[in-house]
Amino acid sequence: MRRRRFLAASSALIAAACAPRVEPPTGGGTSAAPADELDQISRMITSGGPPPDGIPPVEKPIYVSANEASKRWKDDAVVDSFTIDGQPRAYVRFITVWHEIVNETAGGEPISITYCPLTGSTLVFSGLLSDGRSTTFGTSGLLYNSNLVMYDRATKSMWPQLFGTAVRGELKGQHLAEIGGAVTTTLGRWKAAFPSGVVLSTDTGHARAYGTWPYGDYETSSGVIFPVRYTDERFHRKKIVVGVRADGAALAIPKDEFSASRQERRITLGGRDLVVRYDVDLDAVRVFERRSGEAVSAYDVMWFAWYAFNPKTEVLR
Amino acid sequence: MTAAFLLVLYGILYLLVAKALVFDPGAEFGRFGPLPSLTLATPSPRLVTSWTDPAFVLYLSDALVLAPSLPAILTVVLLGCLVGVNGAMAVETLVRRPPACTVDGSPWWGVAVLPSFLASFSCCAPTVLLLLGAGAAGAIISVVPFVVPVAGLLLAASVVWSARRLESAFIVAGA
Repeated sequence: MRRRRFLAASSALIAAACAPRVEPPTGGGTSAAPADELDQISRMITSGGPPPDGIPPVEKPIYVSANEASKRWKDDAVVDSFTIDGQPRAYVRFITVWHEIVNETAGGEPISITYCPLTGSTLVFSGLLSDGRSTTFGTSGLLYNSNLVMYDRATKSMWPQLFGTAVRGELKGQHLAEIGGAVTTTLGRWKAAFPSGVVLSTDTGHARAYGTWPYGDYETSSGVIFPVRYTDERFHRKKIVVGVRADGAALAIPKDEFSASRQERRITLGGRDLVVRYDVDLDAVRVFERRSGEAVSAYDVMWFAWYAFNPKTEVLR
Repeated sequence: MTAAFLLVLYGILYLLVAKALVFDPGAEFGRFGPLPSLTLATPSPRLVTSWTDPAFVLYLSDALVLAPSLPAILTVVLLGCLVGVNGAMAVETLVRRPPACTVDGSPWWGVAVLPSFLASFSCCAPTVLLLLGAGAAGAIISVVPFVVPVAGLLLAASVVWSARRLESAFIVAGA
C-alpha cells in the first residue's frame, strides 16, 4: 500500500513537470511585417533543449588549405561553400553541425554563415542591422518549425533562420539581409572547383566529437522531432528542394529532378527575372539574376521546413 | 561483482544513448591524427552544468570516440552506483530467500532508471526524442531538468525498500 502511494506521488510530480511552459511574446521597435503574424510565430517558438549558446557558434574561425583538409575529411563530406573577400571557403557540415553559426567578417563587415541541421538549410546573413549597428549572432536554443532561432548579440532579438525577420525583441519586424552565393556540395567537388580555397578547421576553440553526426538517420527518416506549423505531403518530408524567395513570392525547386534534367530555366518570381541553372562541377542548383548574373540567395532545404515557412510556395516543375 | 558489472553496463548504455560514446565503423577517426587522441575542454564554470559541452573528447580508435559532459559523467557515476546496488541487492534477495518464501523480487528499480536516459543532450536532438516524435518533444524537454533527480530518488528509495525486504528474508530464514 505504501509502495502504491509512493508511486502515485511520483507520477503526480512528473505530470506537473510535464505541463507546457508558454512564453508571452515580447514586442518593441517598429514593424514592417504584420504584427499579429510575428506575435503568432513568437508564441510558437519552442525550446530545443540547450540553453543560449549551448550550441556554441564559432567566433574566431581558423582555416586550413584544401590539401590539409583532405587529410581529415573524405571527398564525400558535405560542405557549404561561400566566397569571402574573393577567397572560396568551405564549411564542413561535420563541423558546423556542432556550432550552427560561424561569425565571420567580409569586407570589414560582419556576416554569419548559419546552418540548421534539423531543416538542412544554410543561409548567410549580413550582421549589419537596419539602424546601422553591427552584430554577430548566437544560437538561442529555441526552434520555430524545427528551425534554428538565432539571437543577435546587440539586442537579443530572436530571428528564425528561414524567416530572416526578428519576431521578438527590440528589432521585431526588421529583416536581415541574406547574402547570396552559398552553395552546398561535397568536399571533393569543391576542391576540384576551388583548389586554392580554404576549409574551416576543427580548431574552433571548443571540444567536440567532430566526425560524428549527432542526429543519426534524421536526414533520411520521415519523422520530425518538433512540431511544424504547416505541412504538405506532396514530397517526402526530408526531400531536398532548393528554396528561393523574391519580394514575397517563394519557389521550391526539387533538387534531384532539376539536377537530372540539367536544364536552364528562366523564371519570374515576385517580379524579378531569374535564371535557374544546374552547376555540373558542384552538383548544385543555383539561381541568378538574369540581367546582372549575380547569384541570389537560394539554398538546399528540407521540403517540410520550406513548406512550413512558405505554405504558398510554388514548385518548379 | 554484480554491482560493478551493472555500473559499467549502465554507464555504457547511458553514454551510447546520450551519444557521448559513439561507435561508427565507417568514421576513420585515424584521419584526424595518431590515435588515441585526447582533447580537453577549456576549463570554464559552464562545463560544470552544461550537458552539451564535453569535458573531453577522446578518439579511441578509427571507430570509437568518447565525449561526455561533466553532468553526464556525474550521472553515470551516481545513478550507476545506485543501479549497481539495486541489482546486487535483488540478486542477494533471490539467492538468500528461503525456498518456501515467496519474496517479491520484481526489479521495478529497472524502470526507475529509464527516465535518466532523457537527461543528456549531445545536441538539441537526442535519439530518444526522434523515436518519440514531434508531439512528445515539447513535453519531454520540459521534464528533462527533473529526470536525473527523480531517477536518483526512485533508485535510492528502491535501495531502502530492497534492504528492508532482504532483512525480512534473513529474519524469515533465521526463524
